Amino acid sequence: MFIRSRHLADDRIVDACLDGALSASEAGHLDACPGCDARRAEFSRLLMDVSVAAAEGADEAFPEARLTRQRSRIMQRLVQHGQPGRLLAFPGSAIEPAPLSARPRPATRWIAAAAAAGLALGLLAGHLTDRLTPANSRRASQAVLRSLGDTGSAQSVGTVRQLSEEEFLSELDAAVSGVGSDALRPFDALTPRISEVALRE
Amino acid sequence: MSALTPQTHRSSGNAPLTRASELAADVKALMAAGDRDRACARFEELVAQQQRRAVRIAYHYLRDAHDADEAVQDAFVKVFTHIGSYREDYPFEVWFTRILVNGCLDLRKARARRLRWSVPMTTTPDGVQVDPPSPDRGPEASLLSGARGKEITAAVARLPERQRTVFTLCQIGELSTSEVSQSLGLSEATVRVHLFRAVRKLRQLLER
Ligand SMILES: [Zn+2]
Repeated sequence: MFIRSRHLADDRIVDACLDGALSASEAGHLDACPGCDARRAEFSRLLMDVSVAAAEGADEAFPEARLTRQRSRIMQRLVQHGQPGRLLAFPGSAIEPAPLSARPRPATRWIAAAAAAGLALGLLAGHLTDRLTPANSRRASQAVLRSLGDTGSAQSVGTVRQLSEEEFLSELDAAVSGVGSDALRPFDALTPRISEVALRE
Repeated sequence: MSALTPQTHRSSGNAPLTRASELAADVKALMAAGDRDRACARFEELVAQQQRRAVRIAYHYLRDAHDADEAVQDAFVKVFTHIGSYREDYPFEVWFTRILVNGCLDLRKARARRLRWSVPMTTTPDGVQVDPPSPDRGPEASLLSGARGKEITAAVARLPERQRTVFTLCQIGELSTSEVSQSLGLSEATVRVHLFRAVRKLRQLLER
């Protein structure tokens, strides 16, 4: 039988294992060449092994009972908050409450650290407001002040605790990056942001 | 389109839609008709049908069971609250995966933010010993029975992020390369390139 002179490259073999359509000559070669066929078998086995092991890993973390609990929780949340047709919530608002409040979080001093950093930043930003980049500094300062409950004093740490964790940390991040107003932009949950999926390869 | 005749749903390519797409179209129609109770019942079926796939994706994406649980819950709640924007001729799995992946991204950003601003401590102000925040309690820490299983799961976790995302959606989320490309907004060729690199890397990592 005629065998196409060049063996298939690995990517074509992997394509063959997935749903990639091979050209007629590639498919003919694969059928006739024991070497390429062996490579296809090897890749197929690898894909199968990895898929099975990966699925098992997730399934062990999520046994049937946990899925049932999760489903109940979802349905409960729909009853409590699911009003169709509403606008997507701002982060931290009632429609998307911080889920799994019972979830154990390791104890950290982040609130204190963040409050101190935020306060220091607010003071610094306030100090620079009239001297350097007024608009950005003012926004940063305002963001920090907002996060400190608008009192602008160290006594407001009690107020900080009323903010959600995410809201507060977002404000701090916004203040640091000088894009405080961006924190008020509604998030677009339905548009993929693949650029953020992986910036590094 | 009647919510009671799901078998009539067709994709734009005239191929029959999946069961999940039929259920989603039913939920949408029932909600539009004001029948929230039946919509909820049908939605619960949809959750049950898609849940396993969703947690597998989220678990390997986030490498943390708690975060995965949260991401999956959020994604389903979002689906229900935005069911009015679901297009009946569009594969539900693709639409849902977009929402799920976006949610995973948000959670990861939140987690990174927490880590950035946190000062770990091992005792409370009262002197009570507490667990320090653990880094990703990933699949590699799971109770996979076989050594090979652990080795494989760890290898997947070591893939560069984009490769892992594409590989997870294709091989664990059981989406076609075309569906992954729609879910992630990448060209199909790009998806194939990342997929191939992932497989090549896995082979290298798992070679003995
Ligand atoms: Zn060959």
